[in-house]
Amino acid sequence: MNSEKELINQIRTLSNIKPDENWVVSCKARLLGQEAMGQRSSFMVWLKNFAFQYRAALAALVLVLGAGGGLAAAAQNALPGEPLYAVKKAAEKGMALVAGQKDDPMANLQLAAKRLEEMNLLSQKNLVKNLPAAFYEYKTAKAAAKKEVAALVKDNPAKAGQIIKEAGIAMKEIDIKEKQVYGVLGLDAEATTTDDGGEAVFDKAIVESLMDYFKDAAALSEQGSFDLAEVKKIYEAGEYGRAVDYYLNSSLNR
Amino acid sequence: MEKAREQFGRIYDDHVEKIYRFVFLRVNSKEIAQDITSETFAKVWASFQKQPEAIANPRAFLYKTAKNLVVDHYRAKAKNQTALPENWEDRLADPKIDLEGKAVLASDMDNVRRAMAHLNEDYQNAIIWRYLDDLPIKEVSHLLDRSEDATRVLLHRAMKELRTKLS
Repeated sequence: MNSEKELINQIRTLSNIKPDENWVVSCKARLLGQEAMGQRSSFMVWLKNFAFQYRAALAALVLVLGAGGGLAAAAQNALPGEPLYAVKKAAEKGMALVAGQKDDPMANLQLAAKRLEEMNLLSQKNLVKNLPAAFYEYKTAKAAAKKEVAALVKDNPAKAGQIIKEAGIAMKEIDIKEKQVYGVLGLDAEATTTDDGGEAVFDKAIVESLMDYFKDAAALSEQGSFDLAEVKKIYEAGEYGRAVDYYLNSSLNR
Repeated sequence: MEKAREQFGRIYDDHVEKIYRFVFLRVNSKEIAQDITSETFAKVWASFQKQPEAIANPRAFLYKTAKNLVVDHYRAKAKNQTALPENWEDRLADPKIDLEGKAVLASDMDNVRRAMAHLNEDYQNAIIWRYLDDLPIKEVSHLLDRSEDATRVLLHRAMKELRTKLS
């Protein structure tokens, strides 16, 4: 058979062998953590920051002009990686500003839950290519919410228990949902939440505020004292995220 | 660390497809190809974190690592399995190994893939690197640890052998 050229062409048909896209994404996430999933070029980061003010103005304009039309509604259903997603996010920011919720941890936690749901929708629609953007959005929203909780607790030590109790329920729901979504995507939740991205800083601040609060609180029950000692032990081991989890599931949070 | 992660993320994106294909063609199994490809990138990432400047040519480093892991895979397999199964030929033809969907099932592709599986390791590697991945002779010779002339001769013999298997 076959001239050399024909043979080479036949060999080149093998270039149709490609890895499964879901596997490519999840393998990268396992290898480099979710930070890499949400990786953007520094130019894109710069562009994003630079364009923020204009995006907000654009979003307001679009929402005004699009009232009664389909664009605003379409933007509300946009998912990460889609053209109208920036409009949706800018509109959310604008609404948070109007409602005075910009620094409200509960509002930010709801936003993180929303980002997680977007990730879930993307996986259901098999839009694998958009998942890195969704990871980035979710991680950013979750970190912002935790930061707000930590700051609020620090500023209001007397209300630390109450704040964390309220935020804790939302955080717990997010964690459960996160495990489900990661499970669907075949990701190792532990591996993708390694704490070199800054979340640990917020978790650490939350646990420290908690320990301060309970130090001055009225006498704890036997179970409460035991749970507090456990939180301290986990905190001292440097596992701040786990210490928050333990607190949320313990008698201290009831 | 963040910079290294970003750099390696790009290396991953640029090479994952070719490394997977190279491994898949050597092991004829989607699951094993995924495992070996993951291990390849994990090993190279570990080296990259320690000494990024030592990896001047990431592509060559990845191919060499993948090649060694494929060899390890067959060695481990040989330990657990003293002889090839009697139905080796049938197993190669088993439609279950056509894991890449309809495209892989296309007859040309399937024929050449099965014929390649009968070539020796160096012949397979040389053909994949030179004609499928379009690497220059110099890089193929480096990966094969041979001179450029010896690599040309080897490629000529590999193609002759492949033609025979196909006919």
